[in-house]
Amino acid sequence: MEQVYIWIKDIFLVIISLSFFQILIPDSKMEKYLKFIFSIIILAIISSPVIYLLKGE
Amino acid sequence: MEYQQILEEQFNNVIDEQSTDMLTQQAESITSGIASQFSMENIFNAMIEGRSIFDSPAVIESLKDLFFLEIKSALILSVEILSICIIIGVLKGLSDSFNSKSVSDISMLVCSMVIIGISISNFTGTYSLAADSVDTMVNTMEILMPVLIGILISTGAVASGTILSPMIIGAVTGISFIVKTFVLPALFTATVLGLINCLTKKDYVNKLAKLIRNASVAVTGLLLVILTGVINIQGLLSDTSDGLLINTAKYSLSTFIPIVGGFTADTVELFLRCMSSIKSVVGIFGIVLLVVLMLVPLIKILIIAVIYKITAALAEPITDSKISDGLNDMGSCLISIGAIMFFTSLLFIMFITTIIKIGGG
Repeated sequence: MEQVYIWIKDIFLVIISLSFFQILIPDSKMEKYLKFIFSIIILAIISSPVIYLLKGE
Repeated sequence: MEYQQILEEQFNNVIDEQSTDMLTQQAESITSGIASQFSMENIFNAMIEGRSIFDSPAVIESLKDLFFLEIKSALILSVEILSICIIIGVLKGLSDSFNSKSVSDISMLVCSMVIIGISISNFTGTYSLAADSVDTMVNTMEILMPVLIGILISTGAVASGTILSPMIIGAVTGISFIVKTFVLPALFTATVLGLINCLTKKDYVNKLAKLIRNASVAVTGLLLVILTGVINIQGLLSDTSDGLLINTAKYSLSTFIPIVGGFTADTVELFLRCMSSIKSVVGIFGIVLLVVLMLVPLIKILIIAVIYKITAALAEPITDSKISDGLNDMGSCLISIGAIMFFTSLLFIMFITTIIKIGGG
């Protein structure tokens, strides 16, 4: 159960920091790349339980 | 009448009044006073005197009170959320005129986080209500099942009793474990993810939330289908063999014992009849308790869900679509929780009906 709570907390923190960064960094060419990097991070976090399960077996 | 006395004596021998009273009291706090009207004694007296158990107007009265109370408290929640939505709308309009995007964006973010906070804190209460209700249902089953199986065996259904007892008790324990450890937390997760999703402009975890929600409902549905199928079919089969056994016993008693054989067979018949009426009393007590335990939280959860859906519809013109989508998702998650409670209690009711049905209750 602990793992699941940590997982949710991670997703929550990344998404909130993503939305803050999007607002704080003024409009520029960097925004696209920033968004992309954050999407990659979210993807990694979402898929982390699968990796955890595979390693556990 | 004679048979009433016999029934009452047998009833008092078989049933442990204290444990069933404890059960009713435990249900009392969740069902806000409806469970006490369906105590074991009331149902037993109604059965003996042949009157209906549902005729008391108090039940309808307390259901009506509950309904309006819940609507009132849910409306307060709706008004809170709507007022924040209106603030968001005003901020949006102001920011367009001041032409400073980032400040208004941050204020909107804060406002959506306030909405998320309100929804989550309300959702925690609803979630624990559902978990408590499932817990009490499992308790009911764990107390009533040994009694019912014992009565079932003493009505002569030996094969059914011995086969069904481990199956049903195992199924109840398994269901309670799966629902409490996997399904309900998964729904909680799905709700949180659905709410987080309304913070960002792009969808990041929308599909994930829907996937988790649908998966948990599907798992419960699958369990329901498999377990009811297995236990009902097994019950049908062993019922036939038990009927054969009892009929053979009665026939051989009345035929092969010379003088008193007829009387003995009649006494056995009477005893079995009494036991099976007691079995139906206990079973009906269990079913009514399970229905009440499901119904009252279900009414609360559905009212809150409908209020969320209405709030989402009302908030759509003033705020951006993400927030109203989030509120709508929240309503769907609450409906899923209600559905899971409904499935669980349906499964338990089916177990009890299978037992009542055996031996022609």
